Amino acid sequence: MKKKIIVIGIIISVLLIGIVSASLLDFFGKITGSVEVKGPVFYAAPGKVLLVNEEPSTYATYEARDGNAIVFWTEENLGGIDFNYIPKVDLYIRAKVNNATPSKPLELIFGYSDTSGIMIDICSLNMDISTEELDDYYISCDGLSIPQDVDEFYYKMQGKGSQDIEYEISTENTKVEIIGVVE
Amino acid sequence: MKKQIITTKIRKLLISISLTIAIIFSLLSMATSVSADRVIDNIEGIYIEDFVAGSTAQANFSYSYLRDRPENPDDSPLIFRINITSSDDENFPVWKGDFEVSGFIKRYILFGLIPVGEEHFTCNEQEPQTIIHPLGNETVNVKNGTFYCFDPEGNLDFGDFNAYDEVFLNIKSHPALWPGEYGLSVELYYLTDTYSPIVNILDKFYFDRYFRDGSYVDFEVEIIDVNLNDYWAKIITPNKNFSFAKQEKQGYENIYEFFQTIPNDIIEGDFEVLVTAVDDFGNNATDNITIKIDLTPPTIELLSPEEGKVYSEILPIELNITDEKSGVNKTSVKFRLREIANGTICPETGVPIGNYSCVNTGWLNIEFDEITETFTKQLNTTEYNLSSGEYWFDARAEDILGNLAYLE
Repeated sequence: MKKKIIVIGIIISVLLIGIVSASLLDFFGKITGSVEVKGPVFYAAPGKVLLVNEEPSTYATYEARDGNAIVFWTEENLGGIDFNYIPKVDLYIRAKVNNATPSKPLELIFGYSDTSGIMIDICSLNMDISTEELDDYYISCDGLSIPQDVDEFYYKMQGKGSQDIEYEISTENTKVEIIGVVE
Repeated sequence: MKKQIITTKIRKLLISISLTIAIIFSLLSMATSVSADRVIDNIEGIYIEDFVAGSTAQANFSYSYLRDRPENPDDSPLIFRINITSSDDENFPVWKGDFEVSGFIKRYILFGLIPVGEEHFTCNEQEPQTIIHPLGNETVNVKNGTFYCFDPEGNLDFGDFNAYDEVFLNIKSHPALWPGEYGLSVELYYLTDTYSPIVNILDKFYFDRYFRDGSYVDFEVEIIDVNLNDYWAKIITPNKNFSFAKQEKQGYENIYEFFQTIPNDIIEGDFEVLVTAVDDFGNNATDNITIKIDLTPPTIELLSPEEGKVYSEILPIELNITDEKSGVNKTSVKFRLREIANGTICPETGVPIGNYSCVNTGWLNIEFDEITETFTKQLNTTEYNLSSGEYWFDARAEDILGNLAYLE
């Protein structure tokens, strides 16, 4: 960091020499820096809420049998924002299944609804739940298209096993991270 | 390890050379600097931690604005231009709405030891937008990712002190922001004052009258300019210009007094009084008024008594006195009769001439007749002990400025 400041100092000194007042609005000093912006993180939280960049302080568990989905929604309407990239996401879930032998598929879907209420999947993958105690799972997923007109995000979990299979999902460590861009 | 040491040495050498060049250029620049380029010192930052899209990050930087530097005038506006660029500008450029920026300054004096307050400013990426400041308003085009931040009342300096500013930026990003590296730059801007001073001679009616040499002239002028540098007033004549003394009017803002006793080498005529004000940026403005100089005395025409005519008892006196410029001072018109004895006019003091005494009425008032518009008097010769003989009649009149005429 110290080296960076020294270099900046030199740049500024040189700039100051060359600038001559010529117009109404003129600049006389320049300070620079850089920053790495990471993609947003969507945290599952009690109340089936999806918090944006805000890690919840309390947790809850939800049960789902096949055919019943658990869906976490963002609370705030984004009003139709447009992305300019196809997101690459990491899907995290803390879950267990009542019969883990063999492991049971749980479909994880990250998507959004647009301002007209249409739900569009950004990506979806099946995660094999292989524990009968709560455990953390994660999987990377490439988005399919550039999200457009986004109003709300959702993170949906849907069992793919038989009727007697019961999943339990904890909001602890259940989240979606946009980690980059699908090239 | 050896290679690393050499690399470090070369880097240090390069930095030293660069610093030396920069210092030499800076010194040269300071020595010859007459422009309005400002300079900030002790720059630190920008410090900003990586953050996630959709959240608000805080960035900060600091600098000193040293008023002792000749480049740094007072009342420099506080304007930042913040530019946020994507490292992949081709594929993922920054668009308007990707960021929201606001901030505040913590200002210190005395080498950053004493806090003197906080100053909040707003940042706007609206295209176009107008920078508003008492120095002037400037409409600027704003590229994507660019924010202009300013406080219309904010200045870089703090009275007689060097100011040390810690600037904090709150940068809120859009959740849909492309995740990647962004460059952040802050440029300090100044407005060049292109506004001319406002100059208004306040009591122009004062110059409806005439003046002459010896007249004391004083008038007030309103001069408005946040960077007023100098002001003056002159009477412009073909031969010579005459300057006025000046001072700020105590207890009044933007009011200046000019005063002068008109010197005796002024000539007659109508001349321009030119009031000029100039600000620190060379903008100037003037206001003018005509001053009328009257050095001509009234014209006295004797209507009565007639030359050589004999009068008895009542001597009718009538004078037609005119003054085209300042006008006749009606109370100044006088006449007198002096006896001519032995061919000599009785002296003004009326003392005897040789063995003879003589009559001198002294200067007598004569009234203005509103009907005839002449100065008339029926002089009773007995009343003034005017015996038969020859008398020398003379008259005098002044205009209201005191320009004196004699009829002899």
